[in-house]
Amino acid sequence: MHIWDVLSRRKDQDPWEVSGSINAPDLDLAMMLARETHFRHGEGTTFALRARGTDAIRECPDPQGIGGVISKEYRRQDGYVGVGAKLKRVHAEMEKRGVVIDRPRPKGHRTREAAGA
Amino acid sequence: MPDEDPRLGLLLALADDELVIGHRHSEWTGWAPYLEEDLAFSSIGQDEMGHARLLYEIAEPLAGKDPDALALGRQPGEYRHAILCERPNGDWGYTIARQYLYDTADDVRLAALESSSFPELAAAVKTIRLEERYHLEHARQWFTRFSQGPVEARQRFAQGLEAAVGEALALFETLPGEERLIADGVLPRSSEDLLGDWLGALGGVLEEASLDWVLASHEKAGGEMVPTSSGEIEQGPTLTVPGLERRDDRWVHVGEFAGDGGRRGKHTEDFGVLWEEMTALYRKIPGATW
Repeated sequence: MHIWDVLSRRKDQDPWEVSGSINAPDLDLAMMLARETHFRHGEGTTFALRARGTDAIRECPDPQGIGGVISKEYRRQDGYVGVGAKLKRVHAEMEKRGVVIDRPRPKGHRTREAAGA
Repeated sequence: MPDEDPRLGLLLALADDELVIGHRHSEWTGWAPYLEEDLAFSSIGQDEMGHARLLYEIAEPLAGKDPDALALGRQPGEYRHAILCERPNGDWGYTIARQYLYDTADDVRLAALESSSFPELAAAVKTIRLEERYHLEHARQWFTRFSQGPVEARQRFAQGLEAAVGEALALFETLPGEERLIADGVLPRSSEDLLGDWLGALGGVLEEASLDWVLASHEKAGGEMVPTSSGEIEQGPTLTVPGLERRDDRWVHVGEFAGDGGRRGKHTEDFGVLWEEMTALYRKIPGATW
């Protein structure tokens, strides 16, 4: 099993950036596994592999369609980003209506503002 | 079922295949041979479920049920997937053998459906095939590795093919109302015709890998056939695995195509267990969204 560095371009004109690495026995399997493990959600427009310890970069021969075509946003881990802000908006809206359904923080908790953050 | 629009039967057969095999694939999450493959195979499972959802959305007006209700709100005997899809994963050799057989067969029928006269289906199939080509690549990569050894890997892969190939033929079981589907251009080619294409190509690949003996010795996989519906299942053809024969240097299907009952709602005990787990949350909290 070899280690392969996975490089990607966020946009076509961007330089290669290291996205991570994978283990695979050869280049063919490495190409398939890199696409499946690093680019399932449109994280880049294309990618390439470099065997760890070497300089040769092998570009994905067929980057069209990487990231898939069926909506899969729901399974992104960063899909949870913004949940806190959404909760605050809900609380503010409920307060306007005179309803308190919960408190965002326990009473007496040091807020970020009070801590000078 | 007798008065059902045959387009619904076609859509459910396609969607249920994807849903059930996707669920089986997902059972490898956390257990696949190594991390990268774990992620890749889990992603393929999610793709299959995404394709199922797309097809259920097309079926919604014909069925009068929303996609969630179609996917999770039916009784076991109302599912139309091929029995191959519901079989437990077994070892990695069987899983990859089944994935190879399933995805190559799926490719044959999807290629035909791209020219369907049912515009929503034809459009969906074009989209689905963009992802299915990666599933094919995955299956072919593993086929090559297993068929070239080491000895134990090749042997276990061959055993997987041997166990799965008979039930894989039934992916092309004749659909209810197929004559009308063909006459209307919804199904551009008959299931038997598609089976011939798939089998011819499969035979060639297996011969090249010196694995074609699995076609000569295939047998029905274990598990007793039991009806799982409430007893309202239409009586289908006899449950026999169709035969194979080598004629003029080509593997062909011989005799009347009998199918295995999956397209008419007959399933094995394996599906009963899978259905219990797959639909547990939906049955406990009907209408839940997440």
